[in-house]
Amino acid sequence: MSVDPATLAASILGASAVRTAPRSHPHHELPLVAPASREECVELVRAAASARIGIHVLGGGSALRGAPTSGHALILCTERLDRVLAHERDDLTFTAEAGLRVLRAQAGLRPHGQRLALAPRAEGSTLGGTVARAADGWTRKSTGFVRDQVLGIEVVTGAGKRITGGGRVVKNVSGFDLCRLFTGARASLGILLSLTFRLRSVPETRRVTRHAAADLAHAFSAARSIDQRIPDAEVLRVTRHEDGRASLLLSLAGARARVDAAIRSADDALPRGEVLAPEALEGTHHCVLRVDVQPAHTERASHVLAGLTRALRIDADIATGTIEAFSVEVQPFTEDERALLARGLSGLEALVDFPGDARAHLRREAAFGATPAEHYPVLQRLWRHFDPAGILEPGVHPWK
Amino acid sequence: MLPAHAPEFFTTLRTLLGPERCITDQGLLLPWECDGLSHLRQLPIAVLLPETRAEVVEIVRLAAEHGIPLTARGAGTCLSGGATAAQGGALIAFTRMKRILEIDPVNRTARVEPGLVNVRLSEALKPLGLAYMPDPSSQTASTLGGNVAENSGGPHCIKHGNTTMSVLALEVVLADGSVIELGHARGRTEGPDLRGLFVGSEGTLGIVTSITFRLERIPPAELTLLASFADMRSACNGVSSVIAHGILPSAFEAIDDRTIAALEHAGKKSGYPSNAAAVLLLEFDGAAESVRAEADAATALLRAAGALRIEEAEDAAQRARLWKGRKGAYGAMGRLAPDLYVMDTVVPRSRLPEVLPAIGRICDELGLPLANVFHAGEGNLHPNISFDGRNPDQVRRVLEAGRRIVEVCLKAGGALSGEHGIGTEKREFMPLAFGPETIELLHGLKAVFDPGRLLNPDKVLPEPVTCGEMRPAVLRGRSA
Ligand SMILES: Cc1cc2nc3c(=O)[nH]c(=O)nc-3n(C[C@H](O)[C@H](O)[C@H](O)COP(=O)(O)OP(=O)(O)OC[C@H]3O[C@@H](n4cnc5c(N)ncnc54)[C@H](O)[C@@H]3O)c2cc1C
Repeated sequence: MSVDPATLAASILGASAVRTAPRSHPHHELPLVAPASREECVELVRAAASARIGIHVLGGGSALRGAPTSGHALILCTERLDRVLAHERDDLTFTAEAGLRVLRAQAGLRPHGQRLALAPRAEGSTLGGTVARAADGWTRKSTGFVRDQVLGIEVVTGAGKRITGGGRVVKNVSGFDLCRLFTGARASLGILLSLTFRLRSVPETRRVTRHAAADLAHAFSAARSIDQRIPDAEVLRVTRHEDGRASLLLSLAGARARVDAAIRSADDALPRGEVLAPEALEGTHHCVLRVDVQPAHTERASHVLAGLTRALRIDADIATGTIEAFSVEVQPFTEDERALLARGLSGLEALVDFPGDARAHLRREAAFGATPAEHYPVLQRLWRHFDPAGILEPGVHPWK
Repeated sequence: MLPAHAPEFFTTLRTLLGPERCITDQGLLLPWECDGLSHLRQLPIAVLLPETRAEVVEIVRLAAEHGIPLTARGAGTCLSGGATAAQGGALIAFTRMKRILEIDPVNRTARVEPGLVNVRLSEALKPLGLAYMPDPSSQTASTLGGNVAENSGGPHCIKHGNTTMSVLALEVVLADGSVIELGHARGRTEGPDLRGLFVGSEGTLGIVTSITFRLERIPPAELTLLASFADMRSACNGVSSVIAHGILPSAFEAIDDRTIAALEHAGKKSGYPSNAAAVLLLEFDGAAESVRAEADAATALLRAAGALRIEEAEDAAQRARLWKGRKGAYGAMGRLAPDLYVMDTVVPRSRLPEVLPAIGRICDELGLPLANVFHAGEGNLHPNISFDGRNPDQVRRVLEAGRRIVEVCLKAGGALSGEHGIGTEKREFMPLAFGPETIELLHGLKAVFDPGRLLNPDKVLPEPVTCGEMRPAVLRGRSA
């Protein structure tokens, strides 16, 4: 006889930990449960695995819109797993539970002159959600991918096993690199319970400027010239605004002497810019389309996105080849738009992602850099190993 | 002894590779008996030298068919026993697959075969103003395939990261002979990061046949500092202070007095002050102004920590002079005794001042000569113990010291290895760092990729044991 998910959760976590999801939530028909501790979370996953109850993990509320669900499932919300477990100031490491919001963690670190090299996309983005989705942002040019920030993880697998990977030191090659395996895996193999990150020092000084350009092509050419002059600029981003204007955003950060010299070099090469508050970098936006290409293709790919008729703000990073489009409109992209993208990007070996739109995600055609089909057998074996009952995030990956 | 079905394996391989690339003669196999961990030895049944990916695929298929374990081998400089053959197994050596397949200066990537020696890539990139950053001290000998398999580090990895941070994509031959491309030259892929899983897996999950690396531009300016201290504790405090102030040098190395003595003994003029109990080497790279600003700030902090003397060098010749002692350290130590056990552990940087004396005490108690050269900025220790592998009692004491050092480092919140990997050396210590559920999961992960346990078996993971039982470290002395 099948066990009711809400009843099962209430028997482990108590009735008060089980509620219905808000109507705005994509799976609002499912019970939403919030374990109060990592132990409770492990217990819940074990029980769900033996009762074959599906689990959708909710971190900061940025769950995939439209992901298929089975009725026999629950939403596991990590909001109460938000404790800081260790902050080793002198060693620049930070360990916290996965449900801690990135912005809260940053606020706690700021008085110590330290920060995580993460750039959350939403107010509510959590440490676990950011790593599970490998959601990088403005810090990527200067500090690298999300996968390079994680030093250690604690996970409950779909089989209910509580495992650890990495550790709490900045260098570690002991055994297989589970930290990287779990970065970007969403919750398909296991649920992140806690994580250790390397920290960075807040730079002594930072100057952020925006420089207007005649059009997108001019903005790119200015960006290339700055990239030659100041290779270690913190952010160098070409923007096509919703109204068609183009500009270049430049952030210079570090020791004062260095930033002063870089400013002089930039001022020689660029028209005078508008100085922005450093917080301009931190802004959280709703990204509707993300394209990754090799750096040399950034300009071409940006023009393809600019060719879409909907009003999008397009940010392109020539150092990493990442182009992101932001919009207030969250309507799924139409067949025509997808076809235009596929045609324009063909030959660029682009990876195209529609954050937040699960249907688009699941339809990932080869033109959009989807996981090649020859990977499926390996991924399926991997998945069966971590989640033999197939309860975690049923349907978020095409190979699951 | 050859497995009963081996003759067929060899006949096919001799036809495929020719006799000179399929070595089975006992005498010729002797140099392949061990890697850099010289007290662990195992003669391979054969050494196979493929020249193409297709040959690698054929070798892997045949090995699977005949149940022959295969261990990939680069230059054999591994210090954890990972490149030594399994019992009854063959080595697949990449010495002949060493081409640079492509350098893309615009996107700053390079695709190479795994047998390419690390420094050869840097040499090819230099005229283009580009650099491949990970620089293990063995870079003039070790191969990029070996570096990827070990996730090697080096003096300049504190800023630029271990090898994994430079790997964009890998072409891998899986245990069944199928070929798979992991990662992508653009950097980002969707789903679990299989590329990341394979880097550092020590050849136990698949065999790498080509690697795409991310490159950097050669930094416009570099500056080196050498700071000497009257005692190691002050030097360690200097390390913590610089890091805690948010200064990130591109290299941050430490050398102790015993190493300085070994350099003098070997007649290598290090130029390091003879009254120094510890020397720190720091390097800064980047724009000229930032290099100057960071070096000035670091100098002030090192003085405050008690530095006796600080030297500075900007031009290449002067910088090379300051690095001379560091680069010559292993050669000098190698002259103290027939064998050198180069250990590799990590502790949180702030624990260095208490862990280093503890390691010194362990070696003193066991009557073993110890010298430390290490990546101080990352808390990555290399206790180096000189010994004679022909003396079983010395081997026993060295192994005992190894275990106790690992225990001290783990107790301080550290890790088993920062760059040399687990191999055979530390596989039985894995349960000290990871719980039984994790170890079991790692065994299962290995089986996902290599169900027949033919790819570098008996490395990295401890022998599977039943509930709670732990086997003692099984290490064979050279005389055994
Ligand atoms: C003097 C000295 C200094 C050293 N300094 C450093 C240092 O600073 N930092 C550091 O990290 N290490 C250092 N090492 C250790 C060693 O050089 C590194 O581990 C190096 O990466 C090994 O490369 P190799 O080509 O010798 O590989 P090998 O020793 O031949 O093999 C190492 C591992 O890689 C696997 N492997 C090799 N090729 C492949 C392939 N194509 N596919 C899959 N697996 C493969 C092998 O099976 C083995 O497990 C040093 C060693 C010595 C002797």
